[in-house]
Amino acid sequence: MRRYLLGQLDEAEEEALELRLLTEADYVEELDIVTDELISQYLAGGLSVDERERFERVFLASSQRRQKLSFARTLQDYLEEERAATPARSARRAQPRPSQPRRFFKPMAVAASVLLLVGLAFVIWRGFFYQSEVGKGMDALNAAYRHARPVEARVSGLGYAPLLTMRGGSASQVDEQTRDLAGRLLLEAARNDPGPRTQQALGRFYLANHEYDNAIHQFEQALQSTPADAQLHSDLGAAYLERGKAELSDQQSGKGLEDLGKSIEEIDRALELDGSLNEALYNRALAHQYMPLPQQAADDWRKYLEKDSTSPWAEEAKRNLKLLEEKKNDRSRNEQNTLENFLNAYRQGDDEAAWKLYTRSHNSSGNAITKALLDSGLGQGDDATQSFGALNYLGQLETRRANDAYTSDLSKLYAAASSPKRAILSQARAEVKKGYELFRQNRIADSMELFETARGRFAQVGDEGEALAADYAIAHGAAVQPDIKRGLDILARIMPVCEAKNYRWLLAQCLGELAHLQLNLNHYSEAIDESSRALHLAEEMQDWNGTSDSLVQVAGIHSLSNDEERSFDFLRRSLALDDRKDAQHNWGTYIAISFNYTAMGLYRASFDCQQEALQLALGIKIPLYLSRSYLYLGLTYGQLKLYDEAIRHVQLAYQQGLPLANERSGQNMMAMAWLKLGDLYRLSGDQPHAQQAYDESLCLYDVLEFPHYSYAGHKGKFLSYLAEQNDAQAAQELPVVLNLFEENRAKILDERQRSFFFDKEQDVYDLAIAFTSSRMGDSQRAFEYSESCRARSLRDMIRNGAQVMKGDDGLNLRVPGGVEPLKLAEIQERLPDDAQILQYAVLKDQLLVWHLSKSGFTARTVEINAETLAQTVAEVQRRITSLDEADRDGAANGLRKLYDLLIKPVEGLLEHDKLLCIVPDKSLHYVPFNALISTASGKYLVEDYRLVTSSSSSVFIDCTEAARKAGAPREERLLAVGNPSFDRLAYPQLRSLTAAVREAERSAEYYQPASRVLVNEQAQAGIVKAELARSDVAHFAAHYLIDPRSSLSSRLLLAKRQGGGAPANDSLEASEVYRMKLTHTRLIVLSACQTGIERQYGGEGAISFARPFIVAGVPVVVASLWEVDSDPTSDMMIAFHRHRQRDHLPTAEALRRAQLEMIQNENTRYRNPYYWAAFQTIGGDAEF
Amino acid sequence: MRNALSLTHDTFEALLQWLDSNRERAGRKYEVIRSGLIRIFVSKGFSDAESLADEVINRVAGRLSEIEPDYVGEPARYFRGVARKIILEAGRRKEIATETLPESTHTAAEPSDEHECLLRCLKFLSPEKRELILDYHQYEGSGKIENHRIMAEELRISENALRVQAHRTRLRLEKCVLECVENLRMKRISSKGAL
Repeated sequence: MRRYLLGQLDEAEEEALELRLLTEADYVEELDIVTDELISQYLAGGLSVDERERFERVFLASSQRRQKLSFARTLQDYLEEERAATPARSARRAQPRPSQPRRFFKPMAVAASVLLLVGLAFVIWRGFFYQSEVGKGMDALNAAYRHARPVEARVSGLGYAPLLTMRGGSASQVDEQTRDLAGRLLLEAARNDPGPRTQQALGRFYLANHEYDNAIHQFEQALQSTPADAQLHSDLGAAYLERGKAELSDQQSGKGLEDLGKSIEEIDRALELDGSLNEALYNRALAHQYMPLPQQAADDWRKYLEKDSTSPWAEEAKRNLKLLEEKKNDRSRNEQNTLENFLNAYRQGDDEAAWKLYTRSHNSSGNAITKALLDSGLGQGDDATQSFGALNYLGQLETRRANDAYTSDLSKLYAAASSPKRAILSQARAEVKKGYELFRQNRIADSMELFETARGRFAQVGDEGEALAADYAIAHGAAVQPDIKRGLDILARIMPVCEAKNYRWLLAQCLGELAHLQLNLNHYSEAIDESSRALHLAEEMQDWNGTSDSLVQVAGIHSLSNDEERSFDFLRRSLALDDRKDAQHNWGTYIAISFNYTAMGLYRASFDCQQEALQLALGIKIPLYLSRSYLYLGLTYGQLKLYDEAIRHVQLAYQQGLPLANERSGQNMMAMAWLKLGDLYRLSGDQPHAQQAYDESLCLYDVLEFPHYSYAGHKGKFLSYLAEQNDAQAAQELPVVLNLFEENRAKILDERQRSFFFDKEQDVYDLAIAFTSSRMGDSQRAFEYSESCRARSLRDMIRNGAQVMKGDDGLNLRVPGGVEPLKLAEIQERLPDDAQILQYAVLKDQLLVWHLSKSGFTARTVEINAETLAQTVAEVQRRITSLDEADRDGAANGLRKLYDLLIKPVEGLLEHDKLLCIVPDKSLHYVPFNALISTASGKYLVEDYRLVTSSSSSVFIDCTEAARKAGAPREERLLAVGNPSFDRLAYPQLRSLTAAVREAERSAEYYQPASRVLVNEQAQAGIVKAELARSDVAHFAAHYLIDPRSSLSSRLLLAKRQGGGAPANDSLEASEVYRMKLTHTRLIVLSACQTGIERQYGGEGAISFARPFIVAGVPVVVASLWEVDSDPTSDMMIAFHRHRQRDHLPTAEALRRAQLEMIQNENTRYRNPYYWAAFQTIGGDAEF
Repeated sequence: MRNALSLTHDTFEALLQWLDSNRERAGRKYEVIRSGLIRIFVSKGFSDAESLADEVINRVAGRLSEIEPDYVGEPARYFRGVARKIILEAGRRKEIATETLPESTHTAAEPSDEHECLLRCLKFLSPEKRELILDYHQYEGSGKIENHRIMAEELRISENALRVQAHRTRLRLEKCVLECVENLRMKRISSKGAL
C-alpha cells in the first residue's frame, strides 16, 4: 500500500490493489490508515530521500492529502506543546523505553529546583528532538525492508511487508545502504548502551540479515536480564524457526527439527506470558506448519484470525490456512482415485505413472492396488479379465523395476487357478481381510487365528506368496502382543524363503518386524542393522511408504538409545519424502519426534507433537495407538509437573487396555500404564502408590514373559525406596537394577549407541555411588561402582580391538563386550609403586574424590552440585582461552577455586615424588589440572606433581602395563610431521603453520638419525601412515578438524596429494586410527588444536583424537584441551622432546619440565596458562 | 465542472441489481465501490475525487443495458476500467511542485485556525477517545511501536484493533477540524463583508 501511495507499483500490482479497493471495505480502511501512517512518518523525517521526493511529488498531488498533512501537522504541534506543558503524559507511556523521559523523571522529583529545571529541559530535549540509536536503528531497519520483509516469521518491531520469493536472479528487495546503516546504528547502540532492549534490537537486525546464530545469541542474552519479556521469547522463537527452516531445506541434518522444537518452546513461553501477542500467535502457526503438524497449524491460523482479521498479516494467515485445507482435501481425493488412475495408466501403457501409483500404495498389509486387482479378478465378467490383465502387467513391471517376483507369481497363479481353487483363494483372502480388521481392534489373538487359517488355505492351493504374507502377518501380531519367541521363530522360517523366491518387498517387511522384535529384547545394535537392511530394500524398490516407515523405525531406535541427533537425521529424511502418508505412519513420526523433544527438555514442543498424534489416534481408532497417545501425553504432563493431569491421562491409557484384558496386547497396554503410573506417583511424592504400580507392572510383564521393561520397573522401585529413605529395600533392589543394566549394556554393541544410552542412564550408577557412599558408608563399593560405569567401551576396545562399521547413520564402532572392570584390590595390586590415583565422581549434589595408592585408599566428599561445578569449569576455561587481560585475574581465581574443590580435600594424602594420575568425571574432563593454583603456596599443581590423565583407573593400569611392555628409555625413532600443505581451497579458513615446520625439524634433532621429518608437501597421507607404524614416537604439528557430528570423522589434515583425490585421502581420520594396530609406537604427540577432548559422555568419558591411539595400542598420548597458539606451542614442544631424549625423562616429567619453562618464560605473555596448560599426558605411567 | 451523481431511481436500482440480487448486499457493494473509486482518484492526484467517482458510476449506470447482458466477471473490474479511462482523459497526473507545499504558518503567539479548531474538537471527544488519540501518536520509530504494544496490552485488544480504533478517532477529529476551519473561514469572510 505504501508503494501504491507513493506511485511505485507496476501496472499489474496496481490493478490488483485497486480491484481490492473496489471490493473490500476493510481494505479501503487499511489504505486510509496507511495513508495516515505515511504522513506521520513524513513529518517525523522517517522517509528515505527517494520516498520523501515521491511523497511530495506524487502523494501530495491531491488537495485532500494536503489537507490531511496540514491536520497531521497541527496535531503533531499540539502533542509537542502538550508534552512540554504536562510531561506526565509523555512519561506515562515512556516507561518501557530507556531513552524516554520517564527514566529521568522520578529522580527529578526529589532533586533541587535548579536540577529540576535542568532535568526538565533534558526531558523536553529527549522527548522532542532526541531519538535513541536503537530507535533510529530500528527505523532504518524498517525502512530497509519496506518492500519485502526479510523473513517469513513475524519479528517484533518490524512492520508488515510482503514476503517475496523471487524466481531467478531478480534484484534484492532490500535497501542495502539503509540496512547497513541500521546495522551500524544498532552495533553502536550495543557498544554505548548495552542492555536487553539494545540486544533485542540487534537480534532483530541479525535475524533480518539471516545471521541466525548471532540473532539467537542476542535474544538469549537479552532474556537473561528480562526473562519474562513475551516479545523477546517470540523473537527468539522466530529466530529458531527461521534457522530450523534453513537447516531443513539444506537437507543435511535433522537439526532443523530440533530448532523448530526450540522455536515452539519459546513461542509457547511468549504466549504464556501474553496470550494476545500477535507475533507469537502468528509464529506458532508457522512453526507448526513447518514441523509439520498440519492440524495444529490450521487451529493456530484460525486462532490468529480471531485476533486479527484485517491486517495484511491476516491475509497471509488466510492464505496459509487455505493451503493447509487444500492439501488435506487433495490427499483424500488422491486416495480415492488411486486404483482408477492406475487402471488408466495401465490402459495407456504409461509405466512411469503406473509404477509411481503402485509404489505409493504399499502399506504393512500389502499393496492396495494388488489387493484390489486380486479381489476384482476373483469376480466375474469383463472386470475380472481386465483386472488379471492389469495384474499381469503389474507383475512384469515389478519384476523389471524392483526385481521382485511376488506380484508376477500371484498373477500367474490366479490366472491359471480353477474355479474351486479360486473359491479357496477367495475364502482365504476374506479371512486375511477380516484378520486385519480384528487386528485394528487389537484383537490380536483372534486375528492371528484367522491369518493361520488363511495361510493353510493359501498353502493348500500352492499360493506360496500369500501364505508367506499371512505368516508375516502372524509374526507382526506376535510382535505387538508381544510374543517375541513366536515372532522370531516365524521370521526365521519365512525370511530365507522370501529371499530364495525373490520376494523383496515381503523380505523388507520381515526385516522391519525383526528389528521390532530385536528392540523388544533390547538388542539395539541388531535392531538398527535389520531396520537399515529394510530401509535399503525399500529405497531400492522405491517403496516410499516402506522407506519412510524404516526411517521412522531407525529414528525411533536411535531415540530410545538417547541419540536424538541421529534420530532427527532420519526423521528429517522421512519428512522430506512425499507427504501423502497414512495416519498410522504419521502417528509414529510424531511420537518419535516427541520422544526426542522430551529427551531434550522441550516439553511444550513434545506436547504439541503428541496432541497431533492423539488426534490421529482418535481417527485411527486402534486401541494400542490411543493407549500410547494418552500415555505419552500423560508423561509430558508429568514432565511439566502437572501430576493430576498426567495421572488422569495415563489412567486413560490403562482403560484402553482394560476391555482387552484377556488379550496379551491388552495386558501389554495395562502393564505399560502401571509402569508409567509408578513413575508419576514417585515423582509426585506418593511412594506407596508408586511401589504398588511398579509391582503391578512387573507382575504383568512377568505373565507376558516380556522382560523388556524389567529394568525400568526395578529402577523405578529403587528410586522410590531412595525417595522415602528406605535403605534396606533400596539396598536389596540395587543389585537387581545394576544386573539388568549390565545385561542391557552387553546387548548394545555399537559404540555410539552405547555411549548415548549410558550417558543418559548414568544416573543409575550415580545414584548407586551416592547411596552406597552416603547411606551405606561403603566407600570401597562406591568406588567400584564408579569404576564399573566408566570408559568400559574404551577398555573393551583396548583388549579386543574395534571394528569400524559404515552404516546408514554414518560411521560407527562395533565394540565386543565382556571385559570386566577391575576391583579396587586388583587396581592397588597392579598400581606401580611410584604412582597414585585421584578419581572423581561428579554426582548430582556431591563430588566424591578417592585417593588410591599401592597401600592406601581414602574417600572424601565435597558438597557441590554438578551444575555449579560444570559452570565453574566452563567459566574458567572461557577465561583462560579468552586471552583478554580483563579475564586474567578471573581465570586465576577460578583455578584457585577449582584447586580448593578438587585437590585441597586430599592435599594431605598426595605424595610429591609419585606420579599423579587424574581420573576425571563429566565436566572435570575439561579441567586443566596442571594449572590449578594452590591457595596456600600460590603454585600451579604441575609445579609439584607430574601428571597423567586417564579415563578410568582400570584404563590407567592397562596403559601402564602396555607402557612397561613397550620397554625402557632408549634412543627412539621419531616421525615428525609439520605444517602439511593441506588443500587450501577446501579449507580457506585455515592458516599455514610455519612454526610447525621448525617444531618438527628441531624436535627430530634429539632423536635417532633415522627419524623421519615430513613437512609441508612431504607430509602425504600414505607416507605418514606407513611411517607411523614404524616409529617409536610420532609427533604431529598440524591442523586438527573436529567433526561435530561424528568423532570418527574428525581428522588431522595432511598434505594435499598432487593430482587431486578425495579430501579424506589427504588426512588422518580417527576412524582409520581405530583400525590400526600400532604395536611399535609408544608415544603420540598431538600438537594441534583440541586433540584431547571433543565431547564427553557421562559414562564413557572424554572422546578425542587421543582415544583411537590408545585403542590402537599406544600407551601414552600427549594432547590438548583447547585450541592452541602455534608459535609458543612450538617452543614448548621442542623443549618437551629435548627433556625426553637429552635428559632421558619420562613423558609426563618431560612435559612438566617444558611447562615449567613456559611458566618462567622471559616473555611474560607465555606464562599465561592458555599457552601451556592445554597439553596433558593421557594414558599410563611410562618410564620413557 | 464534472457531473455530480445524477442517476434516476430506476437506473440506480438497475445498477444495484447488477451488483447483487440481494439489495442489502448490493448497497454495501455500491458503497465499497464508491469509496474505492474516491481513493483511486485521490491517489492519482485529483482534488475532485468524489465527483470523478460519481462520474464513473454515472457512466457505468448509463451503459448498463449494453454491459449487463454479456459482461462476465466482477463488476468492480468494469468500474475500474471506466475510472482508468477518465484518468487518461484527464491527461496527466496532477503533480504539484514541492515549493508549493503548504507550510505551517502558525506561531505560538497566534494559534492558527486549525490549532484553535483542534482544541475545540478535542473537547468533543470522550475522555477515553481523547486519551487514545493523544497517546497513540506519541513517539516515533521503535518507541512508537513499543508504545502501541503497551497500549494494546492495557486496553486488552490486539495491536491491529488499536490501530483501527485510533484511525477512526483520528478521522472523526480530522473531519471535525476541517468543518470547524471552514466555519471560521466563512465567518471571517462574512465579518469582512460586514465591514
